[in-house]
Amino acid sequence: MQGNELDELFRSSFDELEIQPSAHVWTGIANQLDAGKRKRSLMPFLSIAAGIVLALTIGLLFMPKQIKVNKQNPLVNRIDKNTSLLTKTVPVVLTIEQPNKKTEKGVITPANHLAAVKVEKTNNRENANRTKKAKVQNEELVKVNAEPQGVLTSRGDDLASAVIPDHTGDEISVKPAIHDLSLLESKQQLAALHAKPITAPVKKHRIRSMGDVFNVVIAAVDKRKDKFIEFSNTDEDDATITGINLGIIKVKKEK
Amino acid sequence: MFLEPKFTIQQLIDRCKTGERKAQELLYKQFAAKMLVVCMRYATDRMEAEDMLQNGFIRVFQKAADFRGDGSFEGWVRRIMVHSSIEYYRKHHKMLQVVNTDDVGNEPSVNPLATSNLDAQVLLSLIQQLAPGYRMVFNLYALEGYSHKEIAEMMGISEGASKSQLSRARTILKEQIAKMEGKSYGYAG
Repeated sequence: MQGNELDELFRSSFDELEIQPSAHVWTGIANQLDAGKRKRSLMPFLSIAAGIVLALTIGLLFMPKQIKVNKQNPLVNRIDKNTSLLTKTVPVVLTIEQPNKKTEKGVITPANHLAAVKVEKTNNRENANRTKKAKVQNEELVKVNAEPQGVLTSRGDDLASAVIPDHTGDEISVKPAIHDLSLLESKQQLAALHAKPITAPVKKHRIRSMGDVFNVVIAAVDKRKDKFIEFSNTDEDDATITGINLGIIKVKKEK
Repeated sequence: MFLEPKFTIQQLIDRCKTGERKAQELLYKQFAAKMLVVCMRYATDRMEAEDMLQNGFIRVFQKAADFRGDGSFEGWVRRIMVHSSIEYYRKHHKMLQVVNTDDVGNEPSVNPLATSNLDAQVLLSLIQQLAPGYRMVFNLYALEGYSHKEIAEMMGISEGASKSQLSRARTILKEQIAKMEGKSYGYAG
């Protein structure tokens, strides 16, 4: 018998052969298909739950550490306080005074050579323009205040100067309150201030709090506009959640 | 072809693609008996064959959406069964046991089903008695029509090994058939 004949003998005999499988085979198939379905439907929920647990765990692990560091290194705390104080007091006091009273109150404190403020006079006497401009400048000043880091950077530079328009002629006096700079008496603090703008300015987002650290880490993974979880980026010690995006569910605290 | 007055195979396949359990069961019943024979050829016994069948059908239903209708559905199911069997074999008989021809051939197993005419059941039992490696290659080459190259890839062996195992498997089967025929003639005579 040739090999091919043998093959053909087997092939032809099996063509018509049928053997009924036991009943348990079908129940096994049905059970496994059910199990697969359940697994698949649970997956998204499990992954979301796992993500939340992970975020909370990271939070719990890292929060206490930051407080500890601050306690151990009081200088860091002090500088932080000073800088925040600075940023809070940098705002210029804008006062609207009597129409004909002429005041020139541009205060320049060059004592420590940290900053000089030029007082710019505007001779616009038209009332309509005046109120408008006052408003606009007020807004600008608010903007300056909203970006304390930027101000700090310029302060750190000995030669930096801030240009603050003065409307003394227009019954508006601008008082740059830079007395607080006297806080920076110690050279150490000065050095710290110098150092800060050097290390920080390159990055678009400054890391000022634990919330920022989380945001950066999450942003590296989640490229959406609304991240999976967002933390507040204030200078406060606690990072509070300001937004959650679970795909279907989006929660965001307006800033 | 009508399974029940209402459904054609194609309708069942379409319903299986949506995961409908009743359609899956009807399709299973349509092909299970035939496919069990395929699995039996690759298995040592019926229990193994039913395991292969179960795994194979689970994959059929999981992949039903992938069936494009290029060939026959039965051919597609059969290929899945063959792959399920190879996978089972790999899991349970990891090493290809190349058994010496003499060892295998010397003791012709007394087959209760052996009769003068070699029916399919007898031939099936002959294949099942082959060493797993021989059985796989003989099935894939002689009955499924794969080339030695394809078999070598599927089994993770060399082409030469595939060829030599096929030739040994054929030799054993021929001897067995000859012995059984001789026996049955002997009883008859």
